[in-house]
Amino acid sequence: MTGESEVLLPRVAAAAGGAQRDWRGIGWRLAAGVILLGLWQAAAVAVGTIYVATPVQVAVRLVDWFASGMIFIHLAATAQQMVIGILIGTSLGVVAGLLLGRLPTVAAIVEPYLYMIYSLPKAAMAPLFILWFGIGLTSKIVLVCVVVFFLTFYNAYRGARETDRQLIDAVRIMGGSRRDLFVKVIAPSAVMWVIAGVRLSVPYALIASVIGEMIAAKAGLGFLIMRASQQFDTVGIFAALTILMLVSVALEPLITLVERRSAVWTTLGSTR
Amino acid sequence: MDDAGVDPMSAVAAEARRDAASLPTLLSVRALSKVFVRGEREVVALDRVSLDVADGEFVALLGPSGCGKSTLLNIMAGLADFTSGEALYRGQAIRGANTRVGYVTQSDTLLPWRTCQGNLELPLEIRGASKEERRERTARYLSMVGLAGSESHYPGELSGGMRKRLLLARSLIYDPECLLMDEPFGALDAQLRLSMHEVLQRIWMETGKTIVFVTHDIDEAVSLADRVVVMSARPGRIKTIERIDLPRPRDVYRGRYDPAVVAYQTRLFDALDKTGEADGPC
Repeated sequence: MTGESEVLLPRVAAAAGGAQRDWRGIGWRLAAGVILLGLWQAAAVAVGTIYVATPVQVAVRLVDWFASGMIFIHLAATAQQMVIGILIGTSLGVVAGLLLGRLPTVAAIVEPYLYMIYSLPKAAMAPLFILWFGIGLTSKIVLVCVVVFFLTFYNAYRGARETDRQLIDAVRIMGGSRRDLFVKVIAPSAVMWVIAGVRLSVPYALIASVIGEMIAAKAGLGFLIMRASQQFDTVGIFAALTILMLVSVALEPLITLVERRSAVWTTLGSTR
Repeated sequence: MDDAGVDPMSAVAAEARRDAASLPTLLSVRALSKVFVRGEREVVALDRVSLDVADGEFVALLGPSGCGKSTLLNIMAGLADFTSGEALYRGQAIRGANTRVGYVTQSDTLLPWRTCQGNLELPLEIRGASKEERRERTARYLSMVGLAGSESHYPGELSGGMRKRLLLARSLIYDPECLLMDEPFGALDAQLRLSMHEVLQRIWMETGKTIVFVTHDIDEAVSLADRVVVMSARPGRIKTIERIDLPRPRDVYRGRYDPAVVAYQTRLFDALDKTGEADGPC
């Protein structure tokens, strides 16, 4: 083509600039961190270590946990419950959402009942699941599954209903049948919504898992918190909470990584 | 209706039919009206529009916003219904999506989760083409619009101009006999738009397809079309039809400096002017 400057946009978003700025920021952040630790230590001493463990105590306990390897059993339990629950819950949620999204009459009939169950705080259902499935992993998996199901279901449902009208029209002109439309346009389009739903559900899956463990379990982070609490082991509570916080923080980049691998095109620029 | 005796609607309609009388008609609308109710008002999107498009013709629908040109195109594509009148494709009423046409709109209807190759192949997949045929055709049409080498890129990685070209290729790849285009180059910068005109003109001359092209740009209409249908707004009507008797191939880049071209542009500009203000959306 004559005289055009075509631009092929980079596949990966440009790396954030301002390395210079970050370096100075890191200095300030470390200083703030030290100050916070100092405040924490002071508060613990002032209030008494029965209520607030000192940072030093927590650090010692964490080292002990990691050295003995016992923490990994509990991490594994919580992680297992989350992962299995997410996998099953997402699969069911996506299928149900896509189906109901394209069957408006059935959806209209069922919608109020689904909404009722969706509105119920799932944590309240934990004792019921424990009654049904015991205090082992299964009851927590079911709880996570239910939580994740509703989140991904609603997202898949909306994704299936709100497929861009113009995309559908364009494919109809090409000669696309109803089946073509569903398989080639509606389902993949709903994937974007589904990914958002999965993203949303991960932190809730963690919450569900931990709460279930706090009520009755044999292992897990929630179990650790409850056991420490029952033994008045304040250091234990703080240590377990610290691990929980680190896990929560680590979840976000992990999700982004998986998202990027599985659907490269969603991370690219807008197509409009 | 004009009390003096001559119904301006029928005069225009007659001219529309006379112009195309020598060639077989591909698309035809007769006394087509579309009225819809918005709130408490009745909006007349199209008012007894009649037009015959001949096989192999390049027709431009020119008019301000709200004159019903896009509605008319959508009716021809089978994507919109109408209140009264007829819409025929090869003499048969258009029912449901018209799968014998290619359709290009202003908005981006590329599937973002498919690569360029995948997007181009979509109509061929739907029509059951074999793998070899799909590969051969996509390669051919990609290079026809100058996108060879972009097969494995996603639409999100392409610039606006490249996506428009991909859309054009996609609408052509299953070789429809007719192409309906709704301001497809509106969002492009001037230089890119002109080069797309060149591509479109070349394709039209080589394939002899029928093209119905909606635009509000007079230069674009004169540059590309055999006939320009000038429409007026509220209610949507055909005001006049101008035959563009310029030799082909036309120089899309420097045409605007040619006195003959300017004469047509001026006539069309005057025709548009008299139809009244193009105020806000209807």
